[in-house]
Amino acid sequence: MISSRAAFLRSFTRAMHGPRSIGATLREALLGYGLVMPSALIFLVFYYAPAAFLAYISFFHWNLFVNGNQFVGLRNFEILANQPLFWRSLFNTAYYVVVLVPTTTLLALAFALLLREMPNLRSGGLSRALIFLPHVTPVVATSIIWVWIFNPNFGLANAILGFLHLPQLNWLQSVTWALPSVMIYTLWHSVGLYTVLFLAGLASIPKNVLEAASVDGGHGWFAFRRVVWPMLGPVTFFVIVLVSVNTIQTFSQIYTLTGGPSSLAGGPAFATTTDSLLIYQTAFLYQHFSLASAMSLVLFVLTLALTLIQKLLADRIVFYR
Amino acid sequence: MRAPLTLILRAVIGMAWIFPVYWLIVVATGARGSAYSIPPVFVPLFHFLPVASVLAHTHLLQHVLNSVIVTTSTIVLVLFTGALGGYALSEVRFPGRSLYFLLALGVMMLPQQALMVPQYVVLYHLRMLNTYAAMIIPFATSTSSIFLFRQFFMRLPTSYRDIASVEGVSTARYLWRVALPLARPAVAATVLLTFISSWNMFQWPLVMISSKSIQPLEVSLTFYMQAFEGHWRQLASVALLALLPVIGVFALTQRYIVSAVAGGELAQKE
Amino acid sequence: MVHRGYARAAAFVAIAAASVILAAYGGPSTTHASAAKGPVRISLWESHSPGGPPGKSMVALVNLFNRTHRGIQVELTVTKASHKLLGAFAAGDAPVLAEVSHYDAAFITAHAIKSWNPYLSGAGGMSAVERGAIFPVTWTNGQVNGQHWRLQANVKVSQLSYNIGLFRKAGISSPPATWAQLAADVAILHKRLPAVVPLAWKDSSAHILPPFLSNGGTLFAPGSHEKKANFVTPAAVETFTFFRRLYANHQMIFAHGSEIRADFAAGKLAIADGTSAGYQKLLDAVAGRFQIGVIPFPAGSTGHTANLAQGLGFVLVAHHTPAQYRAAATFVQWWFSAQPQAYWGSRSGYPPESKLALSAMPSGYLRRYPGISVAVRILESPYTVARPVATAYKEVQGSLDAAFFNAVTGKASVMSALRSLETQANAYLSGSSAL
Repeated sequence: MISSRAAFLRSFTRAMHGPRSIGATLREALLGYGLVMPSALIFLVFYYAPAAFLAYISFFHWNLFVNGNQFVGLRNFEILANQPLFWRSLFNTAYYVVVLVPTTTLLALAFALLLREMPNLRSGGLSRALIFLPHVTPVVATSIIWVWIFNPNFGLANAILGFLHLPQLNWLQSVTWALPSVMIYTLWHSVGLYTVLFLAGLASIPKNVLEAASVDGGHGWFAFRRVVWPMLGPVTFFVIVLVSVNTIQTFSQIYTLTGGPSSLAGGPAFATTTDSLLIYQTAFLYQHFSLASAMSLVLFVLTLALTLIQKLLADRIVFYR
Repeated sequence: MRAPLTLILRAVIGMAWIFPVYWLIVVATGARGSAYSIPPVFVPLFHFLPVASVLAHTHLLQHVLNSVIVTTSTIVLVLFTGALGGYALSEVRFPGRSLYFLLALGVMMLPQQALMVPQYVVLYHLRMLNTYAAMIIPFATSTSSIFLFRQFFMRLPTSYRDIASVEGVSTARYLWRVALPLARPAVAATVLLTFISSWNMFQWPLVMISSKSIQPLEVSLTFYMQAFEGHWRQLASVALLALLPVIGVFALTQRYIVSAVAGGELAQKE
Repeated sequence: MVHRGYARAAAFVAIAAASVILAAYGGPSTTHASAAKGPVRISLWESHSPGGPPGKSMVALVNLFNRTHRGIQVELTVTKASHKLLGAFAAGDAPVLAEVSHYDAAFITAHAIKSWNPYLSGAGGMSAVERGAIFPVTWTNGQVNGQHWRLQANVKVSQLSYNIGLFRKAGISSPPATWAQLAADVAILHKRLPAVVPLAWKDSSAHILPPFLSNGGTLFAPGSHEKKANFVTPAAVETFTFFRRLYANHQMIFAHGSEIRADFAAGKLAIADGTSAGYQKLLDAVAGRFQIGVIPFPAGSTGHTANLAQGLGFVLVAHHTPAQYRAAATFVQWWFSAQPQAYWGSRSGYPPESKLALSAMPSGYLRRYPGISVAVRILESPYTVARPVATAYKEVQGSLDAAFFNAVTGKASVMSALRSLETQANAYLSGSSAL
C-alpha cells in the first residue's frame, strides 16, 4: 500500500519534465490530485460528510438513532415557515449582517488609510498591532469585560454617555440596543483582521501610481476616488465576502454576552436570537435535531446565495470598470 | 492629512482598541470591585495574589503542554496541506481544480452549530474520540491557509518554475527549496491564524474529549471562569491567563501578517 | 532531504486514505468489555463546572462511592452532556448514566432512556424510609404516568436575597411577605436611597411562573391534558401588571444572574431575584462585606407563596446491560441516602434532596446559611411544583420570557402580550411546531 503510493508520488513529481504530451497532461493531473488529496480528504470526511448527514436528516424525523428514522418530506421546512421565531431569527441575522458588513468594511478601510505608510510618515505598526490584537483573543475571555462595560447602572459605557451628557442606555438589557451592543463587541473584536487585509491591498498598489496621481494635482479625496479606490476593488470584495460569512455565523459572542451557560441566550425577548443561535437551541435545548438540521440547510443556502450575489455584483462593478 | 494629526488619530484609535484588555488587567490586579467603582479606576494596582491563587488551583502546566502539543501539530499539518493545496490551485492544471476551489471555499459557509453531532459520529467511527488526534486532524487544513499559499505562489514569476523544470528539479524540491522560502510571510500568517483558532478552541474539545489529562488549557480555564463567577479578580485573572499566550505569539508574528496577505488576487500574475 | 519529504508525504496520504476507508466501512466494531471480570463499570456524564463547589462535590462523592462499593466503578466524565449525548446516541456510544436538565419526551418516544421503576423497587431497592424522606417535589420531578424517567441529581428553587444594611438604612424593619409589601418596600427604597437599584428581576420563566402561580394561575388550561396554556387569565394580568408598574416607576430592572450578583455585591442593589443555586455565588461575590438576608418569594392573592423546583437529573440510557442498570440504581439509591445528601447539601451550594440529610448536616449549617434553609423550606412547601415536563414546554418558557419582558418594559400592552403568548404557547403544546 505504502510502497505503491510512494511510487505514485515519484511518478507525479516527474510530471514536470519533458514536452507536453497526453502522458504529461495525465501526470500533471495526477500530481494535482496528489497535492489536494490531504486537504480534500479532511474537508470531505470531517465537514462535508457530516453536513450531508444534516441535509439528509432534515427530511426525516430523527429518532436519535441511525436506523428507523421516519421520512417526512418537506414537513420540517413547512414547520419552519410557520414558526414566528424562525422568521424573527432570520430578521435578526439580516439586521446584524446588513449593519455590520458596511460598518466593518468602512471602518477597516478608514483605519487602513490612517495606518498606511505615507510619503512623510512611516506606517503605524504599533496601532495596527493594537487594533488587530482583539481578534486574537478568545471570545469567552473578552466578552466578560464587555458585559461589565455594558452594565446599565454601573458600567463604563453609560459613564461615558453620562460624561457626554447623552441619554444612558440599557444596552444588553434593551430590546432595541441588545443586538447593536453585540455588534459593537463584534466590531471591536474583528475589525483588525479586515484592516490588515486593506493594508495589504494598499501596499500592493505600486508607489509610482500613487505618486503619479499626486503629481497630477490629485490630492486627498480625488486621488483616493480615482486611483486608490479602483485598485482596492478586489480586496474590498474579499473583505465584504469574509465579513458576510463571518457575521452570518456569529455565535459565541451572542451566546456569552446575552446569556451564557446559565440562562437562555438570545434575549431579551428574542432580540438577539440569530439563526445560528436558534439552530443551537433547537438542537441541544429543545432537542428537535431534524428541525435544527433543516434550519442549517436554509442558512447554508442563504449564505451561498448571498456570496453568489456578491460575486455577480463584484464581477460587474469591480472587475470591468 | 497632516502628520501630527494622523499620529494623534493613530494613537487614539490604538488606545481605544486596547483599552478593554488593559481594563482586564486593572480589574484582575486591582482592588476588589474595581470593575464597578464610580468614578472608574483606571490604574492597575498590581496585586498579583488573585492571579497566583488561580495558578495554584489549576493544573496549568499539564494543560499548557496539551495545548502546545495540539497547536504545534495542527500548525505543522496546516502548513503542509495548505502549501500543497495552494500550489495545486496556482500552478497545476487538473480536471476538478475549480471543484476543489469550491470545496475549500464552501467549508467556511457550513453552519457549525448542529454539525457537531454528526462530527461526533465520524470521530467515533475513526476511533478518534478522546485522543489528541481529535483536536488535530479535523483542523489539519484550512481554507485560509490554502488561499494564502495560492495567492503567494501565483505571485512567483512563472519563469522560476520553468527554470526549475528545465534543470530537472522535482516539484517537491521546487516547493521546498524555492517556493516555500519565498512564501515566508504566508507561512507566518498561517502560523498565526492557525494558532489563534487552535489555541482558542473550546466547544470542540469540551464535547470530543473526556479525559482531563489531555484537555487543552482553554477548556480548563473556561471551566474556572464559570467557577470563579462571583470572584471578579480571580475571574479576570483567569481571563488574563487565557489571553497571555495568544498575545505572546501575536507579538512575535504580527509584523509578517500584512505582507502575508498582500498577494494573489491583489497583484496580477505576470 | 527530498526523499524524506516524499516519505512523509506518502505516509500522510496513506494515513488519510486509511481514515476514509475506515469511515466508509462504518468503523471498527466496538466491543463493550463489561461482562468481563472485575467491577461493573458505569459511565456517568455530567456538566457541573469542575472548578466550582457542585463540580468538586460531585467528584468527591463519586470517589467516595467507588471506595465504598468495590463491585461498582462509576466513571465520571465532566462534559457538555446535552451536546455529547445526541452525538453519542447517533454513534451508539452513549453512557449508562447521564445528568440532563429537563428530559425531553423525545428521549422516551425514541426509547433512548429507560424507566427507573424496575430498578428501584423490589429486593435491594430503596427502603421506604429513604424513599419517604425525599422531598415530594424532588421525587416527582421527572415522573410521567407513574414512571420515573429522571431522578433529581440536584434541585434548585427561586428565592430573593436582600441587603440587610440597605433595608435598615431605608428604615424597613422586616422583609416583605406579600407582593403588596414588596411593592411598598421598593417604593421606600427608591425614595430614600436614590443611588440604589431597589429590585433586579430575571426575565426567565422560573421567576415569572412562581408569582403567577401564587396569584392563582395554572400552568395548563384545566382539562386540556397539558395541550393548552392558560395565560389569558386574571392571575397573569395581575402578575404582569404588578411588575410593569414597578418597572415604570424605576423601582426594578431586568438583569442576568451574573450581573445581578455583581450589582448586589457592589452594594448597589437592595433585592436580588435568584435561585438557591446562585446563593453560594452571591456569598462569594459579597465576601462578608455586608449581611445577606434570604426570603422565599412573597405570597400572592391566593394567600400563599408558590415555587418551581428544577435541576439536573439522572437518566438511564438505553442499550446497556441489566447488571449496569442495577449498578446505576445502587449508585442513585446511595446518592439519596443520608450521608451523601448531607455532604451534597453542605458542600455543593445546593440544598439536600432528602430530609434524612437535615440531621446529618454539620450543626448550625442551616442557621449560618439562610439561602439553603429557605430553599429547604420551599422544597417542603405543598405549593412548590415541579417544572413542567410537557413536550415543547421549553419553547413555551422562551415565549413566556419574551412576553413578560415586552409587557413589563412597555414594549407591548399586558393584554396583547398575553394573547400572543397564549397563541404561541398553544401552538407549541399542541405539537404543531415540531415533530
